[in-house]
Formats: sequence, C-alpha cells, structure tokens
Amino acid sequence: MSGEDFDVVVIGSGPGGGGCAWALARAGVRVLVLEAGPAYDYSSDYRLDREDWETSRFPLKEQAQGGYRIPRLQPLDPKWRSLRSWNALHGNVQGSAHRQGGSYWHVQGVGGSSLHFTGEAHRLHRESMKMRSRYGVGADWPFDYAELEPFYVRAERLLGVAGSGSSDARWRSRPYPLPAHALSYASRRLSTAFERNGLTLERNSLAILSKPSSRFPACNYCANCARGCPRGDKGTIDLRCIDPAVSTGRCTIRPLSRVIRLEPDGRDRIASVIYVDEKGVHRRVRGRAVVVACGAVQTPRLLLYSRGPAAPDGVANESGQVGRNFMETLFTIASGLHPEPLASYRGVPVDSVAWDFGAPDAIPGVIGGCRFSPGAAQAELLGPIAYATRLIGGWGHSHKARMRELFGHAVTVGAVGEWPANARSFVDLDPEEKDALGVPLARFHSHLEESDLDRLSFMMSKSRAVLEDSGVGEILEQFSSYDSVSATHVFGTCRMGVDARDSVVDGQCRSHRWRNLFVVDASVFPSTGGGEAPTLTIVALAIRAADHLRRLLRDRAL
Amino acid sequence: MKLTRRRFFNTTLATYLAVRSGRAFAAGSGMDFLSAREFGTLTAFVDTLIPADRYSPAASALGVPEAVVQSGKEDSDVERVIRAGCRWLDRSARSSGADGFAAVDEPGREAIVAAAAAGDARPLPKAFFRIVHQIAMRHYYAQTAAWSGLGYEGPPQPEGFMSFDRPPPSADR
Repeated sequence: MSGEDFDVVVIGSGPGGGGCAWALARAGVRVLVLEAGPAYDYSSDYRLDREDWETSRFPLKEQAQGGYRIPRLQPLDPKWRSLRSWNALHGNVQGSAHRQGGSYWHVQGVGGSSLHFTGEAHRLHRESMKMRSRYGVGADWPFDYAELEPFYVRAERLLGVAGSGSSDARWRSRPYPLPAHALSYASRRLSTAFERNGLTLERNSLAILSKPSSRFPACNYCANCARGCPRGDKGTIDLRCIDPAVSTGRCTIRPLSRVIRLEPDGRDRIASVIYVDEKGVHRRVRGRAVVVACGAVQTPRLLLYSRGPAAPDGVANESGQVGRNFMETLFTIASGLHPEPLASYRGVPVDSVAWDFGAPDAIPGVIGGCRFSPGAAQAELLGPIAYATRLIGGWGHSHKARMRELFGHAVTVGAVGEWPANARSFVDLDPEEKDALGVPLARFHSHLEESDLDRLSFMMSKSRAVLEDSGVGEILEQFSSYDSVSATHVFGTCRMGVDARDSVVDGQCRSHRWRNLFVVDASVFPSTGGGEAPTLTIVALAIRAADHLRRLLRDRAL
Repeated sequence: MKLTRRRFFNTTLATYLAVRSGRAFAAGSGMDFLSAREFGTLTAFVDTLIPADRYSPAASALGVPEAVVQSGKEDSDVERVIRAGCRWLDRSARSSGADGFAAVDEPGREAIVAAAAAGDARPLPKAFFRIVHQIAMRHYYAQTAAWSGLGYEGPPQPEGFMSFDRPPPSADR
C-alpha cells in the first residue's frame, strides 16, 4: 500500500470538514478530503418534481449512512405518559415499556447532513457557552461568544444566511448577508396564538437564499429542504464549501472513501490515515495534519477503533472522554388541523422561531432552554399522502370529501431543547456487531434524566397550548424524545476544554496529546445550546480551526 | 420520531400474527398469489375504500389493486393477509346471499368494509383493512389525478409555491 502526501487530510465533508477544507484551500493549503459516502448531484438527484415525490424521503444512495446501533434504552416512567408519541388514527407509535431506538437521521455523503437539513443557521446563546460556571451543569466552552463572533460573520457569508434583527444574547458585529425570508401565511395565522402563550415569533435565520446569487436562484418556497434542494438555493456544504475549495486547485475530494484507522507514530503525531476506496482497495495517505470531521457518532467510532500500542484506549482518548458526554436531540412535535384553509405546505420549512425560553435559566425550575417554531414541515405534513394516512381517518366518499375540505389545514408546533450531558449517554464500539469491513458499529446510548423530562414536559405543554389557542380542535398527533430516539443533532463526544484530563481537544479543536490531530464537528461542543441548530456554529468553528491550523503550518509547528 | 410505513406494517402484522401464530398458511405462489376472482374482490374492495366521484377516479383506475398485490409479493406476511382478507370478504358477501363481494351493491359493500374496519374482535378483517387502506391511500395520493379538488398546487418543484405568504387560492371543493 503506497502512501500519498498532502498538507492536510480532512476526514468527512459535512459542515466541519467542508468548512475546514474551504478555509484551508483558499489560504493556499493542499487538502485531501476523504468522504465515506457518495456525492450527490443537486440538479438531478432530488426528485421533488415527480408526482410520487411524497413516497420517499431524502434519497439515500449506497453508503449514505454510517454504521450504528441503538441498544435497549431506559424503561419509560408512566408519570410522563402525556409525552408519549401517538397518532389519533393509529394509537401509540411504539407500544414498548422502554424508550426505543428510532433513528439517527443523517446523511453520509459529500456535504454531510447539510444535504437534508432545513437550512437553520443559528448562533449559540452566549450564556449557553457557560453552563458549568453560571448554572452548575455540564461544561463551559473554553472561549466565549465574543471570540467566536467574527467567525459566525464569516460562516454566514459563506453559507449565504438570510435573517434580520439582533439580540443581546446573540449580538452581531455585522448585519446578515441577506434579508430575512417572509413568514408563510400559515405561520402568520398562528403568531397570535404564540403571543398569547408568551412566545414571540421572529423570522428564522436560514442558510437559504432570499435573493439570487451569481450561481443559484432564490428559494421558491417548496418547504421540502429535507428531501434535498434541487435548485441549490439551500446553503449545503457541497455547493458552498467543497465546490469552491476544489475550484482553487488545491483541494481534492474523494467520495466513497471510508477512513477506517488513524495510524499514530511514536512522537504523538498521526503519521497516516488508512482508508478503503470505492473499489474496496485499502490505501494509506499522509498529511502534516489530520482533521477528523465525521460527526458526533462516527468521529468517536474512528478514534476508538484506532486504538493500538501507542493509544491503547483509542486515539485522543487519554482523558477517557472520547464517546462520553453524548448529547442528542430533545424535541417535541404536536400537530392538528386548523379550522381555516392555510395551504400550510408552502414556505421555508421553519420560517420563524420563538427564543423566549432559549436562555439556560428561562424555563422555570429547569436548567437548559428551548425554542418553539410553527411549521407543518417539522412533522412532514406537506402532501396528500400524509393527510390521507395520518390526519384524516375513514374511507369512502366521506373520506374524499374530508380530504377536499381539510387538505392544507395542518398546523404543527415543534420545540427543540437543551440536552445537558449525562453519564448514561455515550457512544462506544459495539462488542458484537460489525460492518462489512469488520469495524464495530458505533453503539449509541441515549438516556434522559429527570430534568430532561421536565424540560420536555414544558415544551409539549406549551406547544399544545399554542395549537389549542390557534383554534385547532383536537391534537391529532404528537411525537417526543420521551419514548423514541429521533436524533438529527448530535454533539459532545470529543468535547473541547482547557483541562486535558476531562476533554479531548483544546479550544482550537486540537487534540491535547496528538499534535497534528484536530476534531472539527459537533463532537467538540461542550453544550448543545437551548435548541439552536448546530450547523452554523460548526462552520464557524471550522473556519477558526482552519485559521489556527494554517498558522501552525506556516510556522512549521506541525 | 416518524410514523414510517414499515413501523405501521410491523405493528399491524405483529398484532394479527400474534393471534394467528398457531395456524399454518399455504406458502404464497410468488407472482400471482390471487386468483382472478380474488383479484376482482380486491378491486371492488379498494374501489369501496376510494370510490370515484366528480373530482377524481376510483382507486382501481390508478393502479391501486396492482400496488396492493405488489406489496404482497414483497412481504409474505402481507401476502397471507391479503389472500385471507379477500376470502373473508367473499364469505361475508355470500352469507348475505351474494355471489361474492364484487357482486354486492355499493351500500352492501360499504357495510362489509365497515365491519372489517371495526374489527369486531376478529383480527383478520381489521388487519386486512388497515394494511390495504394504508397501501391504497399511499399509492392513490401519489398521483396527480387524485389531487383534483384538493386545491393542491403541487408537486413542490419546479414551480415551488411563490404565493406562500398569501391566503390560499380558493379551490373548487
């Protein structure tokens, strides 16, 4: 197996890997990006123009998912049964007495999970970065919001973020690059109900073009970001980071190239990276630096599997924290049918958000905030099939009549909340199950503490109250993390910190021990925030880490 | 958490099969597990679930019976339920003096379908109803011919919904 040499080898091409590759390539660094998944062609792979568009979700090609397993989870405490996931027509979504492993919704491919994200581009609440020192839970970020703010500016410009306004909690040194998207008619009709429940809807900040760019059109409000954007108006990492990086002539991207091991040397450096190419051939590649950006499930999997004599507990796991502090998505969704026709299948998926309870101390009696949004897209209630099979019961002539009467009336309130790290949520290597290459699957342990259930209860109660105040006669469907895992955002498994004894990387995303190893994805987050989508923060961290890495390369410090 | 089609099928089938686990069924023939008569019964059933009206055609005009058969070909448990369900429909019709379900008039078919939907404490008719109902609705409403009268401006692309911030256009409902 011969080796190749690059300045930097980046493993993964999602927001972390893509943001890093873009910043490095533009600065003159030679970058190889190894992506385990396939490439997607936005102009032909997303078939929202077909009449059967609703019958499938994001098109997962071969190798578009990383290997993981969710083992048996905690028993359900009946005192929280009001949080059960159910549908009025079909009953409980799952009938077990235990929380069930549903899915970790992700895309492994060029662009990563940005390919199916809804474009949300949030800055963290500055207080969420000080959870330990201010609130006594979790861990602090090793720097403050002011340090990250200039990189948020650059990330917003890179992704093309549309938004408006500013707040003290997420103060801004520059305006948004693009004007905010308008609220849909459906969201405007719900805004009064939100206000009556102490929630002020603000226009969401979105990596979705509100004006055409030199290359891509503005959004046409189809609400189906999650199925892949066929126009390029959504700020996906393949189009905003990888393509521009490649066009510098200094970045090579290799899809279907799965890294299976990091090879340390005897001098606290990663000497080389072993990957399996699309023909199944094992290859070795070297870089002066290695950036691991596979996400909070696959990054610890790779580091732990790379154990050997020089790293008996896994690479970068000297603290024992690789895989620990796993945080995933705390969510509630409630839906019903509004009395008025709204054509609620239109607009951007999440056009507005209420941050009134976003601060860590905003929810009475619970540490860790949350946010609320309207939008039927959150429950995938966007087409005739969803109405016919989930909302409108019955059959025959009366069913057809009700479909005509009620199609477009669906309203949903979704909430996402903070997930503080706990000892029983972690990622490790499955002792039994392996993939086709013989690598153990990542095993995804997810546990809710009592305070998380308190937070969920607050989120669900308020969401239902908003719906009922809006005129919805009956809640027809609800989902929550209480009884199922439905993870989109995952964090924490290689957390940043000042102290090498309880963190994996330092404030520059560099391994405390392995001098040329960086982790740049949401694994490094010490906290999740109060429901903020992580993509923008990951890209900001990536640009910041790339700047630091570039200086180290320039100074020959690696 | 998403209410996926696979989760729905698994739950419905598990309930039915748990009750029927002691019974042996003949293995499906694979390609044509329904006789011509049974296919006629299935067609009449789905056309009762989704009848024609002045807006849109009946289910059979949009290939729903074929879609149900295809689902049976892909899953032997579903195949068993479909075959058994068609036979139950015909038995129910014959108990009222008709030659079979397809020979019953619309009110009569509706009464039999209502009995299947209600379950009446017997797992087969309800499992058959639920599974075929799900397949029928998914297949039917995945076609533009079914959307007439809904006021739906889809599919989502290439036009999008540029009127998203205005009240929906009035539809001939």
